[in-house]
Amino acid sequence: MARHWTFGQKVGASFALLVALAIVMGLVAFLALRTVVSSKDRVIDIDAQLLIGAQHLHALRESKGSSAREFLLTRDEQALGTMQQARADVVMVLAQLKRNVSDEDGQRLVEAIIEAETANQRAIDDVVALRRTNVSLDEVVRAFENRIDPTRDRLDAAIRTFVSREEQRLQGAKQASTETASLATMVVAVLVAIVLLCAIATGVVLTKTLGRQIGTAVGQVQSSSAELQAAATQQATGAKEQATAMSEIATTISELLATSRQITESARRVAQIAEETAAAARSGDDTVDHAHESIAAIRRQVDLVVSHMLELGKKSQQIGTVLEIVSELAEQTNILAINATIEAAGAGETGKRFGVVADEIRKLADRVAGSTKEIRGLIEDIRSAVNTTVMATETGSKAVDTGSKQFAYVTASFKRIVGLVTTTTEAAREIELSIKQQMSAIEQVNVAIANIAQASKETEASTGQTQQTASQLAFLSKDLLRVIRPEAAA
Amino acid sequence: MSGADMLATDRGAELRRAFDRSFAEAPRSDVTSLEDLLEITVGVTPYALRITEVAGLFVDRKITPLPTTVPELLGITGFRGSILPVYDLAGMLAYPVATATKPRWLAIAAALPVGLAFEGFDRHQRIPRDAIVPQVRRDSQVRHVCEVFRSGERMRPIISVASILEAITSRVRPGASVRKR
Repeated sequence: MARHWTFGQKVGASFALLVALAIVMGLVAFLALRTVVSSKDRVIDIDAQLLIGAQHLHALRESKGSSAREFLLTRDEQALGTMQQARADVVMVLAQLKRNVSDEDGQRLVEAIIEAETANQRAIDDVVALRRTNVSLDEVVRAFENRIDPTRDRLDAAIRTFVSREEQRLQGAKQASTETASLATMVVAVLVAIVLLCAIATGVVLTKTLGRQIGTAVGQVQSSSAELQAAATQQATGAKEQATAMSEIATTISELLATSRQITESARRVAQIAEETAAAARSGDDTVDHAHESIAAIRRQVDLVVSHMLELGKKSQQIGTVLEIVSELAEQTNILAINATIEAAGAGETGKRFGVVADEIRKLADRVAGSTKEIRGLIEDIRSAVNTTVMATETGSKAVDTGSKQFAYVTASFKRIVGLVTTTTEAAREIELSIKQQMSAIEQVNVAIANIAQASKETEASTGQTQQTASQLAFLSKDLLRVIRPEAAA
Repeated sequence: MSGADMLATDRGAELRRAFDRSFAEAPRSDVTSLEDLLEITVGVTPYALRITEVAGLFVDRKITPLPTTVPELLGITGFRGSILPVYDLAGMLAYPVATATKPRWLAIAAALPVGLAFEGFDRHQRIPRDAIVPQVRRDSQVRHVCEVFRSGERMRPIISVASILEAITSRVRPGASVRKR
């Protein structure tokens, strides 16, 4: 995604595109130049050489003709040698032309030249041979005109034909080479134009994209600098509040320190009181043990009292039994006295004295019966009292049992209390130690809070600097935006 | 010495003095103007019997039941070598006869060898004759009662043993009368 490309990636991609286009353009230019050079080389190396060879061949033919004419005129053998040399050169040039000509038409023309030259040379050789004879010069001239001139004209005509062809070919090759060079020039020019267009387009796109991105970034930087400024302002306010809060915390911690000292003192006193309580609890434990022994003794005494009371009840019951006998005896006595009274009453006057005795016996029996009844009542009271006492004593015994159990619980509770008080003492000591450690920690916290307060002040100062920097950053981003997008900056 | 001990000692001394005084004093001359009565309980009602109509008083005597159509006849018992019938005094006084509990006390009539059984004996009482007044009410339950006297807070009727014996006799032998001893 091009949208997510970075700045460097976009610039790099643009340069890479331009470099690629330059490389393509260079390659095309190189190829075009090479084609042109090749075309020129071919024109120069082949066509021009062929033309030069043809021209040289014409000159050699002239030289050979001149040498032959000189020999014919002068019969100078040196001229004949020159002619032969020229002839050898002609053969060599023709062989060279034949090698260099590639097309069939050219080969045909070269063959025609060779044929014409061979005919010319034969005519020359015949005339030379004629000259060596003793014929007249006129005859030689005639022979020359009749035999050499026609062959020479044919040879010249063949050479001119070849030259004309080679000139045409040279002209054509030259034209083709010029066209190739023009095409290469045009291709290079088109490529240069394309590269330029691409460079311009890349520049425009890059400028727009990067401008937009940088503008956006600068806008964001501007916004961020504004937010940074606001945050710095808030941070400054916060730092100021934090400094105030730290001051309050320091005050609170000082109060906490004082409170901790008081707690330490209280914990020490608690430990002291707990020790005294433990001693008192141990003493109470001993007292409870003594009380437990006393209760056991009371229980034994109560059991003894119960036993005695039960014995007393049995004795009362026995007294009651005896009293029943006494009562029965009294009743029998009373009945007896009544019967005696009845008998005395029946005896008339003589029974009066007996009647008095019987009456006294009856009264006595009545009193005994009354006393017996009274004793029975007293015995009933005693038995009731004994029962009540036994019940009360049993209740007391149960109460003593309950009390003994309760005292056992109390003893156990005292032991637990002793244990708990000991634990409390240890806990109070631990609390005292912990409070001391806490005080030490609080003092350290106090120092730390002071440091934090100092740091808050420094933060406040540095926040001012941050604020200033944010303002500068905002101005800088605005300047940058103005440079990038004047319309946006305006 | 506690108060109770002092009281018992004083009472013992008083009893001794009263006993000795009874033998030290001369016999009373107005004995004839006194009436000896046996205060008894019939059922739950207090009554009295004249000693002169009674030959003897006994308690817890063995009474042998007899097959009889007379519901008041409890049975027979021995008295001084002779056999005599025992009647329920409550039944004779027209109270419902108790079957669950038998009367403990037995009074032998002086006029006839007949025993009269009743539930309780309270005491022997000697009262002036003029303290005895005639019974005003006359109904079935007090048809054997002609007189009453004041005993404590209330009036106690006196059963006429002769009337009882007459009723028994008339039931056993119609036309016979009670022999006076």
